[in-house]
Amino acid sequence: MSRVTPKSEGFFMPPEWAPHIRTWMMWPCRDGLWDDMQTAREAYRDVAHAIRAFEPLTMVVRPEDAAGARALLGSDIDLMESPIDDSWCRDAGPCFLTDGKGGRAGVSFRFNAWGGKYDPYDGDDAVADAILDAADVRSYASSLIAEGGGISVDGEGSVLTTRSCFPNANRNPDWTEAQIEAELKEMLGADKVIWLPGDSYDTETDGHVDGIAAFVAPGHVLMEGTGNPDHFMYEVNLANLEAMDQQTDAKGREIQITVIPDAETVESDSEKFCRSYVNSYLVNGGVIMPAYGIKEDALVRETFETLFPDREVAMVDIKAIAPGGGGIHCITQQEPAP
Amino acid sequence: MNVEQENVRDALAAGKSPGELGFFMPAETAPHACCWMAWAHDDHPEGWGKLLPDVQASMVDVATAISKFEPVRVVAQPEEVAKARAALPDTVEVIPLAQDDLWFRDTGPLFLSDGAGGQIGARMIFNSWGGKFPIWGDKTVAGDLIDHLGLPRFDSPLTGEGGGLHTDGAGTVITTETFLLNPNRNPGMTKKDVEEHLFHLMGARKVVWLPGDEEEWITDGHVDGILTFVAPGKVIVETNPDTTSERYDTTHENLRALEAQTDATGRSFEIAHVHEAYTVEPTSDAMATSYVNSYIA
Repeated sequence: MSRVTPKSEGFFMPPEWAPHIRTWMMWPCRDGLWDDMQTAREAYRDVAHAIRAFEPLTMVVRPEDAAGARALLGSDIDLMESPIDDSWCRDAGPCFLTDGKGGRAGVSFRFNAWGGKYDPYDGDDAVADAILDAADVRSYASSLIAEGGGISVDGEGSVLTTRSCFPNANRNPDWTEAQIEAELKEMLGADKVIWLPGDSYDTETDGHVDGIAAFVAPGHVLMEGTGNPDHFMYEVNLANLEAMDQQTDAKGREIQITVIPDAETVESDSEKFCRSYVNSYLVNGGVIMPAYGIKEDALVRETFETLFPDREVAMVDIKAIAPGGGGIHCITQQEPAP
Repeated sequence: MNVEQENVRDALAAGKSPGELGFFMPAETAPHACCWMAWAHDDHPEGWGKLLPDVQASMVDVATAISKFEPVRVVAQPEEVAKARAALPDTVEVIPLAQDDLWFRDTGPLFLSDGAGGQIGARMIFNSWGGKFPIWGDKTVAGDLIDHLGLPRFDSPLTGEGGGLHTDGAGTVITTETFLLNPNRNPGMTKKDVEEHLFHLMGARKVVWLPGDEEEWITDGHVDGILTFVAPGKVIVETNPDTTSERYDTTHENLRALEAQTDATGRSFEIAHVHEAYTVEPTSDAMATSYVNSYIA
């Protein structure tokens, strides 16, 4: 096989903690998703401003929303107009790649709104290429239906993903797990895919790994703990923890696991309310984590401060974003420096 | 706040930049309304330690000297205001604002003018000189001061510090590669990206790049330890005359780079030369030996 892929040309996806040129986000716009669009936009603004204290940020907005976004975001956020359908840049946006020699590129997977859960999604399917075009980097197109939230990488050859997500018949019914694994390796420049069971009960993303586990350093992952046996996520989290136990990464290192709680006690009417602290986001010199106003906030903050002693931890209230089904990681996408 | 300032505020909110609105950072030699400084105190483990009383006394000496020429205003952490007030001359105003250390050239805002009475306060992202220190108390002080003064505010996406920028107030900005192009400040940005941001931030129409100083491990070669403008087209450049010193090569590379370039009006620089304090035995590996790091009040 002589297919030209990112891996065959020396590209790989750097880890989130590598230096960023900027962060990309997408401005809330899907009718019916949010109880109150204005409140959701204000929460996105708060996340954008928290990130912008550390690095540049571009917000992708529908053309008709540009003036309103400018008024709410202020002058410090760059805007890019594109006819998007929704606002989850981790999933609809590209995965940026570098080659370690100054070259940059990106992967554009196909996007079908998490297994066809929303409609339309053609605008979101096109946004990865629009972003790569704006960033002036080459786009590698993959025919796999996949979202950035479904993977976590260490930048040294390892990819975490879940069985409940990409192999799901709502995304890639004609692909075997082995074919998906091979495609992820080629597109992300990786050598080993670590499969976790995921979360089949998750009705929104079908168990994206970015709500379950995330690399925080080579050989080290941050994971959702089980909670008490009566916690509704106990069995799901336990299964993922057991699958990660004694895993080795692409370099043969045994993977160290740090466990944090989730925001179990937050009350919400939304079934898809995002309770994950793992779903935080690393920026240049900082960690942007959710604040739910519960005691676990402080405990998780301490964990991040221990994991990243050279970074400032910034907390953002996301109670107006979480009901939409995701957290800070879901609404951001890093553009790494070459 | 007059009508013009409100219009400026609206234009900034609509996405215009100071450069686009005709604002620029005046040269240090232009008349000053006042001089801003910051109080040194010690609430972090890697701070001044036993040196603190001497540092505070020296800072008071500098403030006192400047106050003979122009009003001096000092920002001080609210709990430190009383101490600062007692130590500083009565003519020096003390403004309570959350802050950390005394390097206000780097942690403070850039004050911009449109040459017709308009003012903008501008700031860059401050990350403790490339994330070298776990000291974050000064991350917000520039923005806080701009807001305290009620000025229209511009936040540049550049990460950096004021000490890395010199301007003639006429479109020329001199800076260094080891500072603004450093991956510890602006990863992935090209010279062209930085030049665009410097136009938007401070009206730069011509950016003069010097190589800087890779060995200078705190500021990564701020230009305010290399040269200073004394008039448009005229600079003082500092060199080390000891040919056996690494500083000889570094300082002369910067000099040669400057000699090969022109300012915003297309003229070569008229250069006056001084030697840095090269005969001083350093008492720390961060010791400044610069005379061009003076202040024109």
